[in-house]
Amino acid sequence: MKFVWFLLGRLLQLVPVLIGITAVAFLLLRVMPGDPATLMLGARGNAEDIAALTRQLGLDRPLLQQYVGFLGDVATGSFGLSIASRRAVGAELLDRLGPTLALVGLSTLIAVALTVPLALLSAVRRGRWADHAIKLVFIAAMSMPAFWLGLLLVLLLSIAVPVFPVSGYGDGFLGHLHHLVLPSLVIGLGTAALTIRALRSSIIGVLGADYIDTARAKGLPERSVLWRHVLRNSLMSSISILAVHTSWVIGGTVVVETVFGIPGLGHLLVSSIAARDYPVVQGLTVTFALLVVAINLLADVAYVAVDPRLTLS
Amino acid sequence: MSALGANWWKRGAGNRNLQVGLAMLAVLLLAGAIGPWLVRWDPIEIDFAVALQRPGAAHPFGTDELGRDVLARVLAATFVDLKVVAVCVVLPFFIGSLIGLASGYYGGWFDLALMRLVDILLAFPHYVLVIAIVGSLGPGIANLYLAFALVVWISFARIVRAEVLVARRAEYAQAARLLGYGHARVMLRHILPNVITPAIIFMMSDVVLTILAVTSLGFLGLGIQPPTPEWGLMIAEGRTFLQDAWWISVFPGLAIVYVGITFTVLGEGLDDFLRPKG
Amino acid sequence: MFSRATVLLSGVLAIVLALCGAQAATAATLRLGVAADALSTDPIASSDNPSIWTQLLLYDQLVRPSRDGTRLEPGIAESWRVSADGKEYEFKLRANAKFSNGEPVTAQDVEYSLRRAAGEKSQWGRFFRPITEYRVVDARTIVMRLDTPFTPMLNNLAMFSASILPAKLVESQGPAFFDKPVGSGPFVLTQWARGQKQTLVKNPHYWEAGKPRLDGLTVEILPEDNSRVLKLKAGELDAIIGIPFNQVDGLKGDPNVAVGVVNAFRTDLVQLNTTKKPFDDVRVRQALNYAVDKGPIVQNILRGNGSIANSPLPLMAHHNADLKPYPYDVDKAKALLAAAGYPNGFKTSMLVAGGDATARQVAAVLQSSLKRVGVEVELQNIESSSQFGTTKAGNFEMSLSRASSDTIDPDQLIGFLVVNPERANAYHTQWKDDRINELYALERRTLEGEERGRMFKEIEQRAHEGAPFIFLYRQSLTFAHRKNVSGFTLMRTSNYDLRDVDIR
Repeated sequence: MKFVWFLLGRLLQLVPVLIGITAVAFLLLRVMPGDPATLMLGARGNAEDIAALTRQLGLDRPLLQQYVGFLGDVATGSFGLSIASRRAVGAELLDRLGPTLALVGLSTLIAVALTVPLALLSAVRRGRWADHAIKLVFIAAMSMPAFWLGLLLVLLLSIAVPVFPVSGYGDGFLGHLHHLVLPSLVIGLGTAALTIRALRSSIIGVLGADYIDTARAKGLPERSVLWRHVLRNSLMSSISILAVHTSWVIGGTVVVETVFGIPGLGHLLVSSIAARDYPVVQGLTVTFALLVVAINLLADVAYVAVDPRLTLS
Repeated sequence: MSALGANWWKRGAGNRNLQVGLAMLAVLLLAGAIGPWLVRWDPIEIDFAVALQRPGAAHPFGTDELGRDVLARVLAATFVDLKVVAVCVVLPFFIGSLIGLASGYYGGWFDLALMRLVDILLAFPHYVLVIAIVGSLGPGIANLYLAFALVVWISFARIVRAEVLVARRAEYAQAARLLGYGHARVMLRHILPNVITPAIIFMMSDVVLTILAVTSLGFLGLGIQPPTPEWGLMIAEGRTFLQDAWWISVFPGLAIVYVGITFTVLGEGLDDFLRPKG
Repeated sequence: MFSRATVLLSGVLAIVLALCGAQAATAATLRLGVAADALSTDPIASSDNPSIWTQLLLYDQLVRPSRDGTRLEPGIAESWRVSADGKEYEFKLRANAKFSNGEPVTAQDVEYSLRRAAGEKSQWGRFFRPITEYRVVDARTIVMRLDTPFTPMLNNLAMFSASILPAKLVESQGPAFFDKPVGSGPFVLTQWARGQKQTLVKNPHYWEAGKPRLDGLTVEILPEDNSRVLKLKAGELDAIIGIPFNQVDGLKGDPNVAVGVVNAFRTDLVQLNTTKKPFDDVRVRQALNYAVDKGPIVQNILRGNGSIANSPLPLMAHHNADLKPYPYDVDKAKALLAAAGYPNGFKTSMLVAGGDATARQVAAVLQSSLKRVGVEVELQNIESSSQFGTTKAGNFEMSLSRASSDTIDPDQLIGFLVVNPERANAYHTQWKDDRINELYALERRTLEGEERGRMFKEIEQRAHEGAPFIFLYRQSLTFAHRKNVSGFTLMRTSNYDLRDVDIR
């Protein structure tokens, strides 16, 4: 029961944030030079056609009216119509959501798979050769631009040695997986670079904690100490550390999807910015923010569900 | 010098990260400053006769599709990118620190409003906001500065505010107020020097994040304009030729990695130097 | 006499052979790789090429361009008659023309579709409003009347925006119709995963007997040039379009791949804003044309896949073959600049669509060339989709861009490129030539023939001399397919016609 209240409390806290998100997203795109109707008509429009399109898209109404309209649309779950394809923005977003979620999911898995063992190793072998080596490798990894690392991986693992596809999303579950390996590796490596340090510190803290000494004093074998207490606590920390870096992972999809031609939300952001498709860009900024908020909420819930002692008062 | 604390030279001498970081930075700045003079090729001149040549004696980094020497371009791009990154880091640093300072010090509704705003903006992935702003305003350096200033100040504000909340209760701050110094003076001359350290250290990692962001924008065509050499732009231009001329894209990337490593190491060294532990 | 075993064996053999035969008769599905996805299947709401090309697979028009792009041939109309005064058109539709749902294509459908194309909501209204009256004579015959003769009319009816739609379905379904469009064209769109793939199947009711030979088609959207080429080489795709010029030779060397090149109705040029100094002086504009060495651009950037342009028009009907392009002459350029009052050149800027790799390279070369005569050009990167709006608003000095024609008659493109006042005012250069305007009005009323051809040639000559653009080149379109694919080619209007494609 306490849990339900906690959840409701969190959701309520989010309301002003959500409204704020829509305001920011809306204002963001009104600082524009250039006229969308002209751009959409391509190489063949004239004055009357543009005026007609402007009226059609509602771009001639005062700013406040446009915002209210926007809020109303968002509340009913619609984001208006895409200027380029004349379809509901919501539909465009839904089409692209799958690949992005898959990419984020696989990237997170790779990040976790890299982070937990390597952070553990670094913490346990602190100050020794392994710790330094891992640190060096990931300092370099963190400094690599995602688009460059992507191209490098393509060069090595798609062109030189054709193991993975150069780009695209493929067909069917296995096809998708095959196509997502390289892009997820790019995001996963970059994320791991950030999370390994954080988890390492957390584990070092835990290793020095009282109850570990108690466990050792009780005569429990070292391995058991490690596995039962340290690992469990480090997994908890992992959740919160990863949640903190969600923003980074989701932001990373923008460039990675563009480089690998994955038809997800990030790719859509780049192409709709290029096309000056305002409704879609607006919908996307809100969606990205919502994704971050949602994942953070999920992490909070997971955290509390795993260890109810941590329910915030 | 007293601000650096006692024994600053000794601390510096023993700090390997700081030394390596500073050395790498020196190499970087030297490469950017005199590198273009040492390499005899013009980074912008077109010469189809030598297009797409492999790295070799005459062109250590090869040539691109228009016959331009890649090494010359990578070196020429150094200060181009560093200059932009510097502004995109320092501007938010100033804005964010001042706002964080005021917010933590005054508290009240100003602080509350600010924290709400920060919560909202935190929900957006930084990069999404930056690219949306730059994409809307159009490519161009001024718009880049504006976008980063609008988005990154939050990080600095949070860091400084957290420190200020602790510091304003400290004895020296109370003492200053009792002596009758005005708020502004207390904030700027007494508190600020003591809270700025974490922000300075964060600046180093921010440089790494910013160089990645700026070159990403260049890659997407939203950053610095051609034919000015810029690392991200060069990587994008080389993409079409990845199969036959990998060097066009690979070397600028290595330069970016070098900058990243430099400032990461420097950041760690600075951290140990400014905040010696135990 | 024949043992039971023999009979059984023969029977089995016969069945097996029949099956094999059936397999061979079952043509495969063509897997085509393209760079960008269509946005819409609505002919009156599209102006982007991918949408246009998809629509040309789904729908028919009354007439259509011939394979070689030199004349119009019957489409859904099997014959037509134009009155002597050019004000009345009568079309007779084919008896066997059917939509993919089996319904016949009627004159009512034609009227509905063309009224829609001329209507308020249509981006292409202007092209069809000359038709002032429609008269449905019977289910297969329709008459259209114009107030004044308009020679390009037939030509406009071959455009994608004049596609014939099933009136009843569009009326009843509204915008939802375009999610599952029904047309009389050779293919039907069955599945569309936006941004990823289109799946099409053969229209069982298509009027052209034996066509299309394919059973189906999948169009894969792969924006990355390299990946399209690699997939074709690996056999994961059967055909691709849009090959980067530097990869053409590499592909030609592959034993399983055939590369094709088509001279499309496309022109690449630099727009010069004649309302801004010094571009108001024709000597300056001509000087710029003399200052740029176009040969190396075609040779090194296009790798020979194109030709130097002598005018802003692509190679279309009635083109002026006697007109020589501006030769590369730096001294002449400098002399002209000096005569115009700029002996030391001047500073200016140029818009470039940064996302286009070829445009980037050409811009770099232009900048370098013009520097030699003292003209310092600052390059301004712009998103290709906002370039048009920016030049239209007049916010430019020079702009590197292109123009192409969807029709085989030069009227559409001339009106766009060199006529002022018109919808684009000489493609935003605001250049005005009264004689050209005069000829333009005249050619639209003149019946097709020598006379009309002379008018176009004179228009082209005058455009060449007035030089409101730096004329660059006419690039070829590239495509490639695996050797077991036959009949794949690009039309000069840039789209792909798949009726004759077969896979062995």
